Amino acid sequence: QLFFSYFKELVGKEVTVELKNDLAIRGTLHSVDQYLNIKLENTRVVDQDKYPHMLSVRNCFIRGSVVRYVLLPQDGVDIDILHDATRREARGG
Amino acid sequence: RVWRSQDTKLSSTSATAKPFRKNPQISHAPRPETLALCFVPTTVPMAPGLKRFTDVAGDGTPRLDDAAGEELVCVERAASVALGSRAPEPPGTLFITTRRVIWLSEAEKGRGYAVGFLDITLHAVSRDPEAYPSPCLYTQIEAEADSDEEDGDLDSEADSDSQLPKISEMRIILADAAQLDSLFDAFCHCAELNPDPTAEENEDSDLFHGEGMTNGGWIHGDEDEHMVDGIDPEFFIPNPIGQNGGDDLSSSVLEVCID
Repeated sequence: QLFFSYFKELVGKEVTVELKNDLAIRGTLHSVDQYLNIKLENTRVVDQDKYPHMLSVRNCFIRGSVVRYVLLPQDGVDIDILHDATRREARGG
Repeated sequence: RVWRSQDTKLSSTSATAKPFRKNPQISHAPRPETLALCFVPTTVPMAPGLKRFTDVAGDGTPRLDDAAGEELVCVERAASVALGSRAPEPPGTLFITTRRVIWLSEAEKGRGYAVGFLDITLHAVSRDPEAYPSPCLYTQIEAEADSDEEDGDLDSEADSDSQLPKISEMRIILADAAQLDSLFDAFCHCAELNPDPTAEENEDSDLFHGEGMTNGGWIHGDEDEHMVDGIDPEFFIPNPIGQNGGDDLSSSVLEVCID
């Protein structure tokens, strides 16, 4: 549940979600669930050439299973905290 | 100009009234990935994505997989679908079930399409006229892995062939655009009902090595912006998450993050 907990902390921040089909969508993280399904607000497509029809939509729901990356704002990530948390997790707490 | 269908009595829908039509290919284990094809009369190899749908009961409603617990969630009359870059079909009825989205044409009985929520990778309300002339629910559909072709000529499909050219985008246009937000919510709800089966199997296993999703990937990021040099290799050791049995990690993280 580490990712779920972490993503909940990112709610309200700008993220870019890159899907497995190479589509990248930028928006404000509205919510995330245990399957890492992601809802974004004020979304816009990063690479408009590939999906020109999907310009700015208000809200977008992305299935967790098709997400390749979630790109985080640099100032939205405290690397040290995350690093410690994941190390604790990897060691079994 | 509002189109309304008459006489579709959902209270006596075939979902409960008619017996499930036995198909020897169906196993009774409710595996979501088999449900999408259960009702296609012609024998079709399993494949993801949008399919023709023709299993319609006498009252014009789709036959659902009662045995697997498929239920109707909502119905939108006066709904049209536009597949890929094709023009919208003439209006029909949209049936949202706990497993699938089914659209049946009103004008052409027996013409319909269905796609499982497992294959709907993204959905959004589109109101930007530059993106599409009508407000609609925009959806992306997981096509077959080896598909290169986008929309072929649907009309050239032999009628017995229920396979469609690889449709990766579908728009749903409602006569009443104000209903789009609740349709969006219905799609969210049903998507949450249909988590990836491999995700469920791996629920107790290490997310870093799990199937799909954002395992580890977001730590890599692009341009190593978010990568810390010398990130501890322990990070990638497979260990079940959430099975430390001791500390509540999530609250530890939360506490630390609070300023």
